[in-house]
Amino acid sequence: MTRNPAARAALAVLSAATLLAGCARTGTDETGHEVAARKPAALPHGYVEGAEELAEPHPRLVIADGGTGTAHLLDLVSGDLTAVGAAGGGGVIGGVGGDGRFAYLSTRNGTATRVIDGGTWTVDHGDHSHSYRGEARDVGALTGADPQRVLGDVGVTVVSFSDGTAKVLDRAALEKGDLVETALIDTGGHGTVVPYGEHLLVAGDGPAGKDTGGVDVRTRDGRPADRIGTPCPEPHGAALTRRGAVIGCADGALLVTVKGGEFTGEKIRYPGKPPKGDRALEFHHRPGSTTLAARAGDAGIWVLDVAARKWRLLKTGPAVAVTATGDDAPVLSLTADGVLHAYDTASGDETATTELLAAPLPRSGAAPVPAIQADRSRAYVSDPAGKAVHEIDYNDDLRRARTFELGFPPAAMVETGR
Amino acid sequence: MTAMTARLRGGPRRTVSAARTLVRATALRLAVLVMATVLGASVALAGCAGTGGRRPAVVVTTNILGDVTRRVVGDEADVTVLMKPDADPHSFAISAQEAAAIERAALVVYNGLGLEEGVLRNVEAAKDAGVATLAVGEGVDPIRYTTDHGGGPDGAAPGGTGNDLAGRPDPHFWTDPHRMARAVDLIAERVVDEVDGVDAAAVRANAARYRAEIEALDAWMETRFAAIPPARRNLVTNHHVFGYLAQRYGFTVVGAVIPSGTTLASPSASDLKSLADAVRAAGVPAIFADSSQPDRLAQVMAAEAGVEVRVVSLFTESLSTARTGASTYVEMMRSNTEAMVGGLGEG
Repeated sequence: MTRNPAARAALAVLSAATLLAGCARTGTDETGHEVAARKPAALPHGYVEGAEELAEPHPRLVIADGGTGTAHLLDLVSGDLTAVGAAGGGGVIGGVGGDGRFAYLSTRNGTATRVIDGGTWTVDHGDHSHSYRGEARDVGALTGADPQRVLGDVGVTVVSFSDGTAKVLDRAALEKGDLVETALIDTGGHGTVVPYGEHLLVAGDGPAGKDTGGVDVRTRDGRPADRIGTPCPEPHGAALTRRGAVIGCADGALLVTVKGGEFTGEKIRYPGKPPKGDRALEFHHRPGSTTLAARAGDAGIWVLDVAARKWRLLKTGPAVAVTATGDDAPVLSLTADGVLHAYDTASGDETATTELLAAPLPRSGAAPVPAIQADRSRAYVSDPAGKAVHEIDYNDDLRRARTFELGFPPAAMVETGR
Repeated sequence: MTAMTARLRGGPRRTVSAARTLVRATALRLAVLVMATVLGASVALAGCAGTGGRRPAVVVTTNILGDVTRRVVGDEADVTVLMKPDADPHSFAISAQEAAAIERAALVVYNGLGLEEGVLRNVEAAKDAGVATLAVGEGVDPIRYTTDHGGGPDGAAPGGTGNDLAGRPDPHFWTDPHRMARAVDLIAERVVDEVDGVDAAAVRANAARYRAEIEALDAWMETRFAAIPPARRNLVTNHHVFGYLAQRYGFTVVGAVIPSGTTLASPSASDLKSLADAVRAAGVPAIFADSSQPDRLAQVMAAEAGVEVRVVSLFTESLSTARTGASTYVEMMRSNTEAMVGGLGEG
């Protein structure tokens, strides 16, 4: 078209017209630019541009190929498996966590976290929820060595690293495909940062190594806002529930709640005095569940009923992976012999077992470790030796509902869209 | 800001396509001449004088209330509707231009009662800035969510755990046309009071005409629902919007967990228990649910739970251009009525 001189001239005139059209700008430059960058206003722009509302949640698993480092997306409705994101040195190897929509996987070289948009997500409105589907994609890599934990709310997602730092990512930017760090928090050691109540809860030694007694409440961009006086010595691990945020401490769990902008801390102490090696270090649960599970060293499984403010120790012996599936649903535990167990959280009784993995786990630590993820109706267990993921109906005596053959050993698995 | 709106409405964008067509067919001189003319027009359209463009007199948040408000206002003023068809009233968001439109409006009509979480902040900012606002839901005697009726709107909730909602007003009043008729009057009176330059008599006449249409809808729905035996007036559903319709026409909303797509791939009796129990207790031949696989759900219910049931979808919170049958409020209500009667009626 532009080979035609008339067209060129006309386009030049047009550019002038466009410039002139802006001459009476009564708004700001900023708004003017925004208009230029936007699509025409006539296009629909719902909650997220291009997103399609679905009749129900559409869960997916983001799975790392332990061989090549490629991230894959397993669609749990269709069963389709597709590759997404980079392989090789920048590829992925370990699972860190998820915030409902995005999966965070540690890279093979250990220096970054790769962020994968699973492409489906659910927005909770209390009395009901809405589910959407957009485009799955590799959002990029977040630098920082040895990522440990991911916790997200509607505004931000916090990625915590083993050196006690945490990066705060803007959720709205993530949804547009951009990694935007709004704050870098240094807890001064093995601290814990939790997004909660439109703020950040920061438990740790503090930047100056002082004042270890309580928990700082900061704004989402990291500025001090408040302080919770209840002490949480040696913080490690955290979870978000509908009844508040939970932070693991040496002497129990600190439950933080917010009401009318006031943050309150309440300690749920361990029963008795468990040996130091048996304390809960990381909590696992189905999102939304107020019952949490954690490995208790070699002793077994800690079950924390947040609503009842009560711990229970299930003396099962060592577990490889655990999770809680709900408030009236079993706690699941995978043991090194490849057997999956279900426990009743009220009585502590074992209610079902199933031989699940293709082979017992090797004793050497180099092999990928299986993971358990749970949603409202099913749990998923990765099986590196079997190159598969097993779908478990935990309400039906651990019935194996489906097995997805992957063709590669799953090194990490994070559920999104649930 | 004024210039920007004018540009979007029509100056240069329209010129681009006109220019491209013209340029291909004409000589350079002619093209430039034409362009100069078009340019003049576009400058005028762009409102370089500083105040060009009619301001949107009435801004409405949801598309259901948008349809109703347009019928009431008629040609008397501009009506801008923020929520696009097929969007979600709880979470749709607006652009910077639309936020500005809200602040310059003579009247903002919104549902209220906590429905439009995505734009509430903008509506409140406008109210603080002195813009007249009308929360329609607050003026139509809202009902409140309860917890004690066998899993009604609360229990039906797939994502909810219960009960912070008890006692809170239910925002979905539009499923009761009787309340919508009251809403028509509320909107008409506020338009007359707040929007300069409208002909009050014309607005009131529009409102009277449209109210009569809604009253006729109400009467028609009552007649159609009479075809459903009273014992079968149970809506087994995972929707949370039919509390008002149920109250108006004597239905009971029975909440149920609808098995999901992943569950249906390999279901067990326990997956289907909630729904099967609800259907048996309600004694109904149809359920009203959004399911990604309605046919598969019906098959599985028959095969695994021994329950023969049809799976019927309804329109809930948004007018639709993607699906036929809900391009207007009245059409949406008629479609839902026929779907319910078709599902629950005899024969």
